[in-house]
Amino acid sequence: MKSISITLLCLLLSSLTIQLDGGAASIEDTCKGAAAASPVINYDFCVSTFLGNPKSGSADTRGLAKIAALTAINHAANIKIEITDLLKMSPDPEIKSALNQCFRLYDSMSFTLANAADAINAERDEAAKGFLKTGIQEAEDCAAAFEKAGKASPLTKGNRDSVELSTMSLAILDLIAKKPSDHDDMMIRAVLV
Amino acid sequence: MDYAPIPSSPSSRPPHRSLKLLSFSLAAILLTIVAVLNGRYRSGTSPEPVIHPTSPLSRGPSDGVSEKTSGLGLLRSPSSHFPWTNTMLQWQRTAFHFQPQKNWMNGFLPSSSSLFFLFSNRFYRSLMFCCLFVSLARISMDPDPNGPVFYKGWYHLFYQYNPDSAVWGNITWGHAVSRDLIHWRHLPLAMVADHWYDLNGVWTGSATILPDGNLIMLYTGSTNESVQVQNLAVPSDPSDPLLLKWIKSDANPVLLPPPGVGPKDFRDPTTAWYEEEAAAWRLAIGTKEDEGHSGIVLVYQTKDFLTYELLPGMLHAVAGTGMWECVDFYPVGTKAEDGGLDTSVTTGEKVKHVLKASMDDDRHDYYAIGTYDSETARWVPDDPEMDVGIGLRYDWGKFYASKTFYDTKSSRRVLWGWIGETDSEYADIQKGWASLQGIPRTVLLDVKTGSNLLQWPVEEVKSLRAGSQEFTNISVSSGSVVPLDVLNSAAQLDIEAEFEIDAASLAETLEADVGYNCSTSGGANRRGALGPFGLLVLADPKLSEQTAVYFYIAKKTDGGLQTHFCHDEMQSSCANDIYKRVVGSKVPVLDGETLTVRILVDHSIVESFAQGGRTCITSRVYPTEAIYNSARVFIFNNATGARVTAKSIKIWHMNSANIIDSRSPY
Repeated sequence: MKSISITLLCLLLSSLTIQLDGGAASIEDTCKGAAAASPVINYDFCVSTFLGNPKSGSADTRGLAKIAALTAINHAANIKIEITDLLKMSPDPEIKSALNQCFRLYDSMSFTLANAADAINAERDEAAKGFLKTGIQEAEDCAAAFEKAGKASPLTKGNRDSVELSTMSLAILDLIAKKPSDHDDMMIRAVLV
Repeated sequence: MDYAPIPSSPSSRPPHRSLKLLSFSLAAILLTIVAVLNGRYRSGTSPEPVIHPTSPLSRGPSDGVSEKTSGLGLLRSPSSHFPWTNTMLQWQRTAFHFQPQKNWMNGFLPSSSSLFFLFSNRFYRSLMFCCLFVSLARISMDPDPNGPVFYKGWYHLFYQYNPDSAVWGNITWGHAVSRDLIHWRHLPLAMVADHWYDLNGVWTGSATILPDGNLIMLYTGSTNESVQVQNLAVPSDPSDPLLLKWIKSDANPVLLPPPGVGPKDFRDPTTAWYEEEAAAWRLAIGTKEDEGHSGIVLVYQTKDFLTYELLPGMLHAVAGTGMWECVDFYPVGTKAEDGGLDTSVTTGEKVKHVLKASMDDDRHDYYAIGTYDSETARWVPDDPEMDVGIGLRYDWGKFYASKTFYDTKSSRRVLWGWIGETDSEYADIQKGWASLQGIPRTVLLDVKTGSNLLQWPVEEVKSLRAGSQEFTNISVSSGSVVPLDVLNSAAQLDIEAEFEIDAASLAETLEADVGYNCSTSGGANRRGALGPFGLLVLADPKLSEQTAVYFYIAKKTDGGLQTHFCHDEMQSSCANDIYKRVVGSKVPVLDGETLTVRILVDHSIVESFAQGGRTCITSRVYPTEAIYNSARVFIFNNATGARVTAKSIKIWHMNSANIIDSRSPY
């Protein structure tokens, strides 16, 4: 009896695996939904972000939320390098100070967003959203550092992209909350991305 | 157009020796401060408190079914992050596998004036201190082996490399060389995304050596509009054995997705093979076809690698398997004395062809053995039920995006595979690196069974063996665990073990065990009549952590036996923010054979090869206790009705093969 139910379970699992194409989320639809949910999200930016990652093609909605978070981590690493270069060039101590604050913020953001990615994997969406919001705050604090110093920020676009990526992840998680049918796919997918 | 490599880290004059010593001791002091402050500050900014894991672990072999039987369910909900210490994370780094450079914990203090702000700013990150005097080296990850080749005395490995982050992105071609596939030197990046046709990524590709000894590289570029195209690159100086610089062809892209193929479904060109009849080269590219959700392989023919003809039809297709990435296609000899074969060997009854693909859907690498017909450019599997994507895998654990090459130096076919992490993203950022390459393996047809390949670590691995111990004829009674007195740390080992189960047990066992499956049948703690039994590696003396490598003999309804070979990772670590699974598969055991296994243990990676390499498993494990001098090896026998004898267990300690960072290799 036990072996029959195990066999049935295996068959069920393998049939779910084969139907994974039905589980792959449409990048266009997901980005449409995300862009509609937040003015911060630009449809074209969203689509090109996902197209830039080969795993997007077979990812379900949860997978896309995770990819957005991971892309934001990679972006944070790029910003840190950009800050390092800017620090070498800039003689102004106030700008240097703001840049250093931003460096620390983006460093912290890497961990914040890594926490978000892990929470998305574990289907702890409320926790994930909390981490993503913290990540957004960290980018905004970087912008504020320059405002406080009364200096033009060289990181405006970087901050904006960072906020956009984290917001994409947030918005996509909200989309999942509205789509219960993704649940079965999530069980399989959480492993694979 | 000439192409200059990008320096891999900001250059600076190397500091004086005494200054170096001073800075390292200062860094060490600061690291201690870091360790103390790190925990306090980090939990302060995250919305969730850090909880220590409290889940109980089964202990010993006498417990019943282990706590999690599903291969999938356990991955879903780590409650929070395990409080990983730097000591634990640093131990995870492997000693003799190819892995990316790492940095010092993801931080860099750009100028001394910032010190003031570090003390006063509430966003102080203690990590900043540790890097005061240490230059920034990039954190990185390195999936997908690319263009492996032996050229002018050197083994070359290129790989998908993100120089800036331990997550995927900014993909370039990293490059390393070796004389022996074991000792590597990092070289400058070979290619970066600097043309419109690879602006979104210099993705996977393969090398082809031409009859005149010259080398061409075909690789997938993701264009500025994320269309997947194939590009040609050649060494800018073919006389340079280190192949430092590469030229991308003016004709790029040389291949665009053909009609009917999606712009995101056209990647990873294979090494080309030469067809005498056609007096031309052929290569294969995987893609998919939506109607049947089939993975398919297209074949292109070319004389100059600049213009191509898409041959009609497909090399092969398998319905329901989805997109095929990293396709590989190569001949294997059918006689024991054949050894490896050059990719261009196509004809003859004495040759079979292996078709392999990485399944994008389930992230596993599958292969099948079959017959290739040059005339029709078709391949047919020997056994359609064991076709690509539905039958055998190279490796039943963590192993993907693999690729072979024909090693002209030693006349063998060598397999590389990408081994990702199975820990949290957080830990990857914390430790500053992710992913490594599996130990390179030779690939041969198993001439005894005819129906599977044999994979085995390359001979050169043995050069790392230092000091051996042999244990012989150890009887392991039912339900017992025997510690092996392994001298020194058991984190770097090469183990060869041979087991025998007594004939009486085999004959007496009446109950059939039809449904046994490594992933779903309860792991090493689920006791059957004739298994599980094997070894526990990376086990601490109290057995609170252990990675089980074992056999399970199931009796079939017809009275015959079916042996399974598995890894049980469920107790590999007390941490719960990592992926732990039970994985494995059946392994053919022929009459008269004893059960043999070779295991390579290298910190956070365990690779096993059963029955001479018929079934292989790779596990990534992240113990918290069974590390450094606390790691041990045990034999165990959880079978209820059988006495097992470990006829011979040889254990070698493995030296490290430190990778040299070399920007001036001469």
